[in-house]
Amino acid sequence: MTQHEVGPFAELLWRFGIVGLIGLGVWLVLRCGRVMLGNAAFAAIAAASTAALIARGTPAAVAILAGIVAAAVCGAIFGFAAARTGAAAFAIASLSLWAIELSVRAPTGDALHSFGSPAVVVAAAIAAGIGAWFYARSGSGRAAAAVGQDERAAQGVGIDPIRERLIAVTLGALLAGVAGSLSALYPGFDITAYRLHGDIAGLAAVVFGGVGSAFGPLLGAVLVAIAAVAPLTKEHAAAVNAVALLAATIVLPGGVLSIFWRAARR
Amino acid sequence: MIDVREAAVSFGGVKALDNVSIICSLGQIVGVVGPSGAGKSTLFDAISGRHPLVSGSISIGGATIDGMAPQVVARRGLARTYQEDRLFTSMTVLDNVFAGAHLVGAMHSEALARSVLESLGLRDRANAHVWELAPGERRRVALARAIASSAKALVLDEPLRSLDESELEVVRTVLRGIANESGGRAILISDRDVDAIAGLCDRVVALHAGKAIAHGTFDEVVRDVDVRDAYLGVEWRQ
Repeated sequence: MTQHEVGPFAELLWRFGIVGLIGLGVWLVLRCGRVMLGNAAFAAIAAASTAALIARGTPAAVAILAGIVAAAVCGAIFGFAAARTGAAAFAIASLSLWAIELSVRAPTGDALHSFGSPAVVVAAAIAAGIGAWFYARSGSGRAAAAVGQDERAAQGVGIDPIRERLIAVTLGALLAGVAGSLSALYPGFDITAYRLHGDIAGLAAVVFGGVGSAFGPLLGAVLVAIAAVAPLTKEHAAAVNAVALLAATIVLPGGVLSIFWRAARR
Repeated sequence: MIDVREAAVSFGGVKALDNVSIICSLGQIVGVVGPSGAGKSTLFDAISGRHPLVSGSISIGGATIDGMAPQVVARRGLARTYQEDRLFTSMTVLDNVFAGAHLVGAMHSEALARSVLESLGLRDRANAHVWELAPGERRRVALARAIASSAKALVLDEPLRSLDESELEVVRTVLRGIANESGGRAILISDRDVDAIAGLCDRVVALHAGKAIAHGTFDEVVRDVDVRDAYLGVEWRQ
């Protein structure tokens, strides 16, 4: 792990962007009625690919693009295998992606960090949020939501649930890939951070923010990022996350965004 | 046209549908009646690709759909409603109907969805969420979703349930209208209550224990001795 100094605000931005992108990927799959517990694995694949390519002298832009493509291809392969399974089986299958998170390695060094910018990752997360919002309102996005809400009724109007889930998993992996590729440039980059923590952070962003809109995971990512930069030990931060997740699920099942919806409706 | 020939469906050793044949041509409304457990929903599930046939065949518009997945059957021109409403609960009324119309293409689907909602008296409810609707409204939204698909074959499982008298009249008028519209549509409609479909159907098929025990006009079927013994009771409208 590199020990470059990163200011707390810059770290907050980095974490917001990375968690927001992974969370948006989780959100896309969740809309199709499936829980993805291993989306951070695609970020890890992208991070490792990008870091390895830059370390070998590949131009940063090409390395980032290659990392994103690698993540999306791996997502499509996983989606092809898992899209036809039921909800429980899909969640269990997604746990198998942890094997990737545990085994993947990536080089670090100044050559990488000179390209890193928190503004880029924040811009990527916001652009992805806007893109996901438009996708959700498109024909394909509505079809995906229909599958998530009533698969049988969706089939009855001609929607193929396997196709929609495959698209969602691939898009989710692509967004995680963007997070991963850009995170390889993060001065505090540590690929082991994706081991489980990345998945929990992504899931927490969706639960905290709310599933009703693409902006929910981004709002949740702000909260997760604030918690992450708080002066807590890793163990304490994990405990706070766990308690907050439980509390949000019980007290605020629609996420923080639902508070705004309710206020707007009044 | 919906053509069901000697269709049989089994669940383990139980014959849920036993050599049932029904033909519903374009422009026709055919009623399927029978008590709970008669096999009406099993028949509709088989037609929409939900249950595989043990024997027999089903075709839509002249093309056999045996063994096809439900979404493929839908793309071949069949739309349906269910005993339960099965609406997309977090969507608005318009989005639900829009989902039904998505095969029509984005260019025309919203206008189509709005026009179907208007015909069913739901224009003012287009932006309401499903959870805000009364049971009769939910039933009409489910029907609107099927109609908006523009499918030539409609399979409607108890679409008249939960409707009040004024809603019943609206729905009956719409169903007659779409059956007779340009080119026509073939409509199979089920109900446990034969009174509900009186005057609506061109022909009626009565099911009991998975078998078709009578078919003919509404009057012929309700006078049938087997139908009275198995379902209506001998004193029904004596």
